[in-house]
Amino acid sequence: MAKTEFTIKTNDLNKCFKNVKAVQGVNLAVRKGDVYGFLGPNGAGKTTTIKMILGLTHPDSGNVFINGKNTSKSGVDLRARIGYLPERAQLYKNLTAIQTLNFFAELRKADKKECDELLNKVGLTQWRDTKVGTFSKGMVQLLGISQALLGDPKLLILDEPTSGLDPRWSRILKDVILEKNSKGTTIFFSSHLLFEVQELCNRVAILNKGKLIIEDTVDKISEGVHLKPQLILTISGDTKAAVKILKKGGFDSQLVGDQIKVLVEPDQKAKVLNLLEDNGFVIQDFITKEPSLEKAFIEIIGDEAGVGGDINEA
Amino acid sequence: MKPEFNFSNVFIIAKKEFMDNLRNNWIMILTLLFIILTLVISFVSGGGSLGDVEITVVGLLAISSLLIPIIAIMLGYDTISGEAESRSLLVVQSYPVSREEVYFGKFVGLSSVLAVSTLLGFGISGLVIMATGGGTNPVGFLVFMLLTILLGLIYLSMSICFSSILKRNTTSLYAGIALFFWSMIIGSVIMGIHLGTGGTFEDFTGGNMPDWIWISTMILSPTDTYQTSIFLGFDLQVADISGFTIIIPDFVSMANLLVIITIWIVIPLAVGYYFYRKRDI
Repeated sequence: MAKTEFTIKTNDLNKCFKNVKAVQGVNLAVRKGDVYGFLGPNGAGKTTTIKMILGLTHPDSGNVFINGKNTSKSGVDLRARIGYLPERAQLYKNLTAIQTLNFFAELRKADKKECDELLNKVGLTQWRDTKVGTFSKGMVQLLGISQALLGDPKLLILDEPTSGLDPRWSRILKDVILEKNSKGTTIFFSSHLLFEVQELCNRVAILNKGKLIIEDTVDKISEGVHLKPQLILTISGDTKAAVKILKKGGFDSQLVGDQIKVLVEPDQKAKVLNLLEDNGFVIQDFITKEPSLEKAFIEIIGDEAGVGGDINEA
Repeated sequence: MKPEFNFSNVFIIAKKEFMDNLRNNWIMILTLLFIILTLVISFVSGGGSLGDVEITVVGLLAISSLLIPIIAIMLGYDTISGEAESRSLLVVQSYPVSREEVYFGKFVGLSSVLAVSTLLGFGISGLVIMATGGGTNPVGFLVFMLLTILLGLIYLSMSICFSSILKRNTTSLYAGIALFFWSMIIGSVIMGIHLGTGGTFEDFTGGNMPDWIWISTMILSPTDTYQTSIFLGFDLQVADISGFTIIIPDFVSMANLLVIITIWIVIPLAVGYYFYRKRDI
């Protein structure tokens, strides 16, 4: 067995459902300590890949290694230190929050004292003895997150963890992810929302139509697609005329509200400012926005059909 | 993956199934109905003289043959397909617990719910019979309870099997409904074949049923097998019920019936296990 530097490594994973090739030749490498974002539009095969990593779905071909051990040959103990939350999971309607966590704590051989601490952490303490059947979607999701944290897992696999959470609860989750990671837990989470990934991850893989398109650091991906930074200008005077002049000067610019947005290479910024000043405009303020991963994402998969509308939500 | 079996994990799963399903509204309603109906029967048929043990047995049989399969199917039909659809099964199987531990844990847990339901239904009516001066055959009554639990296990095993094979919750519900109707009509179908091939209705009422009917119902109809075994449990090899005479032939022995009941429980359970191991959850 090779030196085990990877927490998760997949080797040419393939899975077909009837005629649909859900996952094709996917090779992932998640390093120990990564916050790894698994991106792709809905239906890209993210969930299927995650289920294969966990042994819930059997791959048609290919292997999964967790901490260097082949999951198809190892026993269930390999999953002892993995916390997992499926997308939009429901739990047991007739059990209370604490009964649910106690059940999972027993299964993981975790200390039951953790259950109340975790309920507190996700803000569900007051619903401790309430049946899960009466919970809102967001509350069920929080309970799902707390079960994933039982027994201090070394690897957290979260499938679209923020779906169904309002921004406040989303924040709780992100804080938990960052806190766990700072203590050495490797995090693997999927999302179709780019800003989430950009905010949290150091490494990203993008999956589209079952194929891995790119796997790299967030910076490298943004760099790799040669996106121009955006210059946002606030000027006094006739903004429409200013945009015309900029366009004539060969700059990709548009008026958004009172602001002018110009896509420009970093070394051309001064030229934009000079051009406006030469034409008598007074620049009150300007900021530069670096290209976002969202732009890279759309650029990378945008030319292929099937980019879901929800990508634009980001 | 090699099979792994740890009894403490089976127990943890079973306990969760028990707690979750005992509070299932449908199961509570059906159990309550079961208790009420058995009480009514024991009052009506046993309250007075209680000379006629056959009437009490037949009355209770009519209720248990109907309600126990329903309760068992309700418990089993969505235990795998439903939990896979709601994704709670994904969470469970991401834990360090094997497929066999989850599968058999579910069977044990759901069986206990079924047993509690049955014991409540018969236990309360049993107490009433004793209190009203009955209780002439407590052993027969105990055998009645145990056999009823076995009947439930047959339907539980079959519905878990369907739940394991079928992907969607709704299809496994349809399968459960089909299973229930089959349990209700297979006896009549066999009787229909008998009448259609020159048999007479008097063969049934006069204790003159041909052997092939005994054999085919014994093999194909768990409910009939159950009912026959109850008669044998009460030593009613020859029974007279409101003009009907039933004479159970010698080869339909309690031992044979128990073997058939066991096969009905074990085979579907094993088939379901095979599919559960292969299943993409």
